[in-house]
Amino acid sequence: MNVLISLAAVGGLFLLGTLGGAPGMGWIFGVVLPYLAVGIGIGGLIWRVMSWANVPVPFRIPTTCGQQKSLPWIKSNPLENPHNGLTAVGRMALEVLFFRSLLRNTKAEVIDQRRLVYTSAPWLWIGAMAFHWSFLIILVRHLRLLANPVPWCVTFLQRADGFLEIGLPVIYVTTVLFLAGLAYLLARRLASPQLRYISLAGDYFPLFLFLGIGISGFWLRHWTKTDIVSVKQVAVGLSGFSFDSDALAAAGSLFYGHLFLVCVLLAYFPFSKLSHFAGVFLSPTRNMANSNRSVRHVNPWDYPVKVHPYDEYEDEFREKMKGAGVPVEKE
Amino acid sequence: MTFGELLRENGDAIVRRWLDDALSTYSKDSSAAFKRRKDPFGNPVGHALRVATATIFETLLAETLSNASESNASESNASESNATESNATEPAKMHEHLREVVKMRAVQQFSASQAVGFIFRLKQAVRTKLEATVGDSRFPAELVQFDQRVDRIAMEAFDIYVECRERLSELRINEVKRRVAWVVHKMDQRGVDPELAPADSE
Amino acid sequence: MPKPDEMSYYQQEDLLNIDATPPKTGWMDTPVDLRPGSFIYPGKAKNLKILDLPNPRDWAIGDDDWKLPEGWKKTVLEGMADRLSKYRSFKLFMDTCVRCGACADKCHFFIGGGDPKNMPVLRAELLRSIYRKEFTVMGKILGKLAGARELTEDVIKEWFYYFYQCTECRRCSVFCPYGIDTAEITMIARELLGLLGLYINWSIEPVANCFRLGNHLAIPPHGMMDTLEFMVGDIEEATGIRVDLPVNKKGAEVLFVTPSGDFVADPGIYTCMAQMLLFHELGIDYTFSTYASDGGNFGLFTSHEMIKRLNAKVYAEAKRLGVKWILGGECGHMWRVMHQYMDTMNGPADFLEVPKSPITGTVFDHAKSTKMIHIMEFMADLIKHNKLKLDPSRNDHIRVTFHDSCNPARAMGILEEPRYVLNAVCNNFFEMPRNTIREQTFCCGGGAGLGTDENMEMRLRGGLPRGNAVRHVQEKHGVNQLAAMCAIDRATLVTVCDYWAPGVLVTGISELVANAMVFTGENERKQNLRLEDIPGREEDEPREGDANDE
Repeated sequence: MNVLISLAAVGGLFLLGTLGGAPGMGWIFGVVLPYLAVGIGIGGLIWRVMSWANVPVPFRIPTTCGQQKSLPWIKSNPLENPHNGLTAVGRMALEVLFFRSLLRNTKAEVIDQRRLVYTSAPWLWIGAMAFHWSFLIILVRHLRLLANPVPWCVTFLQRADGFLEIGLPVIYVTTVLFLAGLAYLLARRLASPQLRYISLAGDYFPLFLFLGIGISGFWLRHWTKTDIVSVKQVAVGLSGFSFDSDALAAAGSLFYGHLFLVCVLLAYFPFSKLSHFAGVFLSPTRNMANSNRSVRHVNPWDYPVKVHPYDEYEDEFREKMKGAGVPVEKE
Repeated sequence: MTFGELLRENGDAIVRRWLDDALSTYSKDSSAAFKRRKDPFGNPVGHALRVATATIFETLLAETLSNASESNASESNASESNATESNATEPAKMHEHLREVVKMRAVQQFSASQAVGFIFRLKQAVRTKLEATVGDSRFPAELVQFDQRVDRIAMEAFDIYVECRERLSELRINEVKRRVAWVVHKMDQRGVDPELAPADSE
Repeated sequence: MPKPDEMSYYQQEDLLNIDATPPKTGWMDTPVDLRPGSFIYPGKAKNLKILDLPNPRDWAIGDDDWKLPEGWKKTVLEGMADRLSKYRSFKLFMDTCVRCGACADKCHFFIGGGDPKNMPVLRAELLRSIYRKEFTVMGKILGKLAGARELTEDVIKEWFYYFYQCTECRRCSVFCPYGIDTAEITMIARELLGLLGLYINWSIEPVANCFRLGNHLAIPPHGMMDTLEFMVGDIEEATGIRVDLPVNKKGAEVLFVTPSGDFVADPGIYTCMAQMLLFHELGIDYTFSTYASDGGNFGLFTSHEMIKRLNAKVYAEAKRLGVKWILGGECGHMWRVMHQYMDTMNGPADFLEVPKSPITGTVFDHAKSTKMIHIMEFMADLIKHNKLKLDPSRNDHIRVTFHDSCNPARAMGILEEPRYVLNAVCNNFFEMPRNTIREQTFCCGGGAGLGTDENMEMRLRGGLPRGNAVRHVQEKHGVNQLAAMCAIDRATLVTVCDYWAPGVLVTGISELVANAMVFTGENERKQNLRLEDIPGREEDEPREGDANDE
């Protein structure tokens, strides 16, 4: 149910986007909506991050995954159990760049006393790494459309990405990894009853959305003869605030379908689970140093509570305490 | 092909089917997890069931085969001693694995019949797989004998189950005792006013 | 009627009436089934009254009507809103989960029992679904499609059932790519339930006891003197040494705070005796306190406010007695509180000094703000400086393994100190498999206020992963003792081992240290602190004269 609705939604959105190819619609789908989407995306992201950052962190609660820093002769594990800001940054870097916690699942195990095998869990890490890193590189590659002249680093990245030199135009490695990673993440969600049980429409929709964007992008590059000059003109126009109606009309329906899905993605991510990429930086169990006993953490909303003070305690038990030889304050 | 040989031939398929049946007594999501991970420490339930079903089947197969060879060559002393030999090692291992599984199922929200009932599923697995291979059941006598062996193991499982449940109540009592027994004993020794004894936190 | 040897006879699926059907409905539509053996009895009215908690009444889990207070729904939603604005952890953990499933098979209750709602992700979704419905636009518009659902009385019952099936052990949080910590979610959920007067008695009675008497077990000051005196007697019987018994002693250098379980419960008492012996031998100027007579803090399993209310007495007593620093005993959740909460809640402890070992002169800089150190840190330092005379061969009959307790491992990271000490006092130390120790350690199944006996089945299910690993080293290395530095472990793992790995005893680390230590003026050691004969040394006849309190 959740799967079908999500698939239908993405399909519908794509078709809606192809309307941009219709005469006169270029202005809406090629200019108005992209600006709107970027606005919602950036605004939404700021709002989302602020909605977290504005909430205080009352206690310092890192999850420690290695030896603490205590006695000087005991080797501590600063990247798994950071003791100061710098090592906490190191831990975050491992987490953000290499998904350290997901990688924890890769463990060699001895099965049935003899055989050494690896659990199947590393696949999640591999799939996630392939998808996320390719996505980043694909984003950077697209800068060649938005910028004129193209920065050298983008050109370099593009060349490196196409090093296999298969196909014409060259098929990028990241394109393949991106689609393969997505396909794995989707297949995994569909195949495992356990995951199907916990998955919501909000888990399938982004997967289909990314797939839609990826496939339409691949299509644009490799199957349809896209008018790349017009596309570049539209894109550069967007970044430079100068628009050319001829280029907008010539860009083609498929291009608008692709662009519209990107717009949807931009507008959707701050309000969905995709915002996890910003959330991970703020996670108190990961970004805090385990310096609890050496540096006092202050709770900004601390308030006095009702306690049972010592004198009340002694008042209740004074005679018994004296009888048992426990020293008391008041005789 | 004899019944025993047929069993041996289809052993893997039968055990797989039986294990699936046994795992399906857990909810779908859990049985998938129990089935997937092969790590005995990360997934003790699935591991124990996997090992137990395989060992029980092996034991039954050995019995069936030795039984057949006995009846075929009842005069031969050699085969008889052979049979007893192989029977002597297998059951001990099997009891141990059976115990592991029943011990787990005794604390997993199953009724008694659910906890030990998975054993009977073997009968069904055998029939289904044999039917798929030879078309019909041509070995009624052997099947009945096989069933009786399965029943015997189920009975044994039931004994273990009851034992575990009794152990459970025993552990409850022991734990409550451990909380205060030492102090109470000391108080008794000294004849302390019982009012001073720490209040039980129940 | 088919005969038993015919195929058709067996095709009756209902032969054994096995419930093989998985829930056909999604988890939201699968109603909670409150099973005896899994739930814990509700908190009694008298305990709630002692603590001024709302809606005190007597009720039972089996009742249809849980007597929720008027306007309960509003109370819960306001409580959620309040906490969403106070705890970034809570707000973030409600938003960022992507349901990747990495945590699903990491929970000991799920591994041992298979109830899908014991997957950490689903446990959190129980709360998250309400959050979406009431606090997010998507949830309000799309409803169930966005994973949102209505808050009903059944949801409250489900919360009560499942958030009291979480031991706040944080194992799932180790594997989560966003560090989502189910312990944090459980703590908040329990706070929300508390607003309606829904507590379990096994945690709220200890809390009430601790508030009034200073410890969970309701040991009054004179009762505590008694048990400590009994220990002095047993120590003398075992070693021939009469140790002193400083209680509420003003001007002592060190305040010793330990879980109250070690004052009365077997085998914790031997750990306590061992520590008294150690302090005596080294001539440490320390004191017990009857007022701060529990380092453990069941407030952690109740609410953040309750942690603070119970923990306040530790610094207050340190100040009253004028000690220089605080030493903490072997306890698990106590160390989560001391390490991660105490200083923030009841500090700053500017009236104390940075802990400094009077024996070695080591300054424990890593505790320079909280001014409290763990006894294993203290002992490791002593052993490193050769200040303890040890004869590990006295423990040669023991083949020991070490269970990392959840909180010291995952909320503190004290992994090497206990191992260093164990290796110094035992010649036979064996580790359990790697994915069951250190930061990946498995819970005993009885933490976070679940260590009672009415839920024994559930505890044993939850203890299966741990018990299974113990069984493994028992078979492989002949392990016969399990060391753990946690009072709850010392109570619950005894039962877990008795069921899953019978023959393995549970011990504190200090107990092993004292049994290996050569004390000045000790008799010829034939008995350990449990007053059992030490194998290999019992050939001589036991001397009658040593026994004192006959």
